[in-house]
Amino acid sequence: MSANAAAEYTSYLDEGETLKSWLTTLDHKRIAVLYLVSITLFFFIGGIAAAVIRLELVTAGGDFVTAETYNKSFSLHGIVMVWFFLIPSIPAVLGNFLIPLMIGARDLAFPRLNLASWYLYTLGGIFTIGMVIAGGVDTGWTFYTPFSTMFSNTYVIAAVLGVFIVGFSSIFTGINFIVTIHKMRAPGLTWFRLPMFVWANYATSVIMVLATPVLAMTLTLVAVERIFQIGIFDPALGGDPLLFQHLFWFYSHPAVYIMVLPAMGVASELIACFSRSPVFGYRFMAYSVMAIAILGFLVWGHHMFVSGESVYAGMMFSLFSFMVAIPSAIKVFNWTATLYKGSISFEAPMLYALGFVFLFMIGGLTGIIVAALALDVHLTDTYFVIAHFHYIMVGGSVMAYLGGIHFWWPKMTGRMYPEMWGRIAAVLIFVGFNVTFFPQFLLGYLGMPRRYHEYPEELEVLNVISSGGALILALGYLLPLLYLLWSLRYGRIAGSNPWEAKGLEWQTSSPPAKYNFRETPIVTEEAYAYSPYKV
Amino acid sequence: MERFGTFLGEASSLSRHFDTLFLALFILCSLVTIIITFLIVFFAIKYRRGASTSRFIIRKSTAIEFAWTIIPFGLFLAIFVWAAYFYTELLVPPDDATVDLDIAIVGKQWMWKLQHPNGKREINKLHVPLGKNVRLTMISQDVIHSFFIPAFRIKHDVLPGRYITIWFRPIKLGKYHLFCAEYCGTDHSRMVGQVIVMEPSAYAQWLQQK
Repeated sequence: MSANAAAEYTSYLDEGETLKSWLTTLDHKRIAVLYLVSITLFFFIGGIAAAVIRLELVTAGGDFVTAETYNKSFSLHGIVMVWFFLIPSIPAVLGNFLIPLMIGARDLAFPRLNLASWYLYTLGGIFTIGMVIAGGVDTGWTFYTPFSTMFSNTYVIAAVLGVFIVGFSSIFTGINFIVTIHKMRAPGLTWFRLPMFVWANYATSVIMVLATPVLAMTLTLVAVERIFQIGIFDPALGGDPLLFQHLFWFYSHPAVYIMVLPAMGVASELIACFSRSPVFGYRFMAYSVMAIAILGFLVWGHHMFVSGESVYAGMMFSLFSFMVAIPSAIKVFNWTATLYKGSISFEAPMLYALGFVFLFMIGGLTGIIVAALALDVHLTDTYFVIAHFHYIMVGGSVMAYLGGIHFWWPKMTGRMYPEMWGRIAAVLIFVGFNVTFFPQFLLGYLGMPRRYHEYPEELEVLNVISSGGALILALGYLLPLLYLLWSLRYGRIAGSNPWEAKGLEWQTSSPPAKYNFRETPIVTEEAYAYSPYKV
Repeated sequence: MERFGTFLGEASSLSRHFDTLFLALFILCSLVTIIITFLIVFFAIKYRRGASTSRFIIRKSTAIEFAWTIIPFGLFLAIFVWAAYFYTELLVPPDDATVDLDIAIVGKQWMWKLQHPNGKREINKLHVPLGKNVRLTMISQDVIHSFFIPAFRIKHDVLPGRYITIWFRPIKLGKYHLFCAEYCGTDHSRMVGQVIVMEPSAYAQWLQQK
């Protein structure tokens, strides 16, 4: 990456080129790049595990890998994709890079804590890779007891330790964002002038800080129970296996919102920019993300409608699940309304954003179906649920993440990605995603249970279609990896604001200098001061 | 759908409830999807950059925001009540007087062991008489399993150290899939079996064999 010769500043990328300068950096932008590299690595590790799953399911019999390998593959896929990709993806990469820029600050509040969070992430990652090399784990990413504590013969303790460690990296990121957003906003940048991306990451951080400690505690109990058999979860000793599920989902349901709220923030930025109109219903959008973050803590029991929790608990959790769907619905309506009377163009980030809205909507609506108690009885633990949450997390979060990466790529690297390739990849991913996951709704409706190595032959056709879609999807994910790397050297020089976007991050150079802004900007207007007339 | 009869034949008294509610939600979700998708595509074309169209707008959103907050709220409440009502029907078995048949089930890695009232046992197969209220009392010997008959639309986890009771009334003769739906270890996907719904007389005869 050569710096623009005419520029009078040194970009953050040119502050040092040695490995040491990267590994000891305190610059939020460089740490974001470190995260970008690490989570991309884990994304492809998780992707390989998914490929093993889809290959096995091409035929009804268990013939490609053994049942043990299959079980370890979906466990690895879940653990890696949830904790090492989805949770850190948008906050730790885009959030790290953009939040200080968006609020006119020179860095996050605690730069050392920020670097420490990346090291913890890496340490957790090394544990997890080591666990896989040693032989893997077969409990699924959910570690349900008493299987994980008494019956699994695999490396459960190493696996929970890896997750335990990476959990602290997300707590550190959350603390950093909360303090930064509270204390370091530029003069004039009031709460209701913040970009939705900042709101979304703020809400996410609250969840990270409040929920992740519960995960740490729960996983510790699993390890202690496994080693000492103290009887927390073992009914023979007076424990309760359901206690684990309550504790686990108390974290893991809010964690779903850790994965999707930042995606909502990205979508708002992209849709506003490429339709040249302010986000419709700004305040409702901000209230919605906060409402989702709070209500998200009250719905964990909807994973347990047939687990043996009480009928009345089931009803309460179902009711709250419908309530949390309301702010989600508001967001979809408002994104749609933002397009109204805009001046819309269809660069790759916008294609991703529109794809996000559509897929998130399907994911959300099928969420209503599984929140309905009597329907969930049949659908839970089937492929219907798999399809539902992949529409939210892959169709939603990954689409938004990629849209965001394309949108802010010129800011991060100073160069444009190749637009035509960007559009081709966005369309491929959208098509591949739907071909992969839509048939899984049908499979689940018919009753195909999840985590099945073999399945009845009647279901083969739908599974073959799904695996075919996965091939398209894999191609779609490889393309950006290639052309984004290509663009680092050969991409067109972007200039400070190639999209003519609003937002403070576009007012500084691309890539920004280490200190972000020469002078602290003063904010005098609302967020998204776009006008469809001035194009 | 005929070839999926072993999955989705409307085979129990609860199937019909599920199907009605599912159909209603399917229609509702489809409508929402169609309307929103239509609007997105319509706006994307009409207001594409360079198209000559009026873009004058007074941005007032409060009334419309309240409308699309309150309407989903009402709809969701209605769906909640409907779905919760059928849920109680599944989870609260009829009282002893109306139960025709009690079956004891033990789940273990990786098989289902079932016992009929006269002591007759079977493994991974469940014979039941048509039109009778069947109550299942289930427990696990090791990890958590889940007893799932797609054609009956019933499923419930089977826990160690605790008895779980559910019920169904088969309304169609035939053979149906029985699955374990909660991941339970290596051969989870082989913890499957068959439910055979028979005429009551045939069932009585079957009970007496050996």
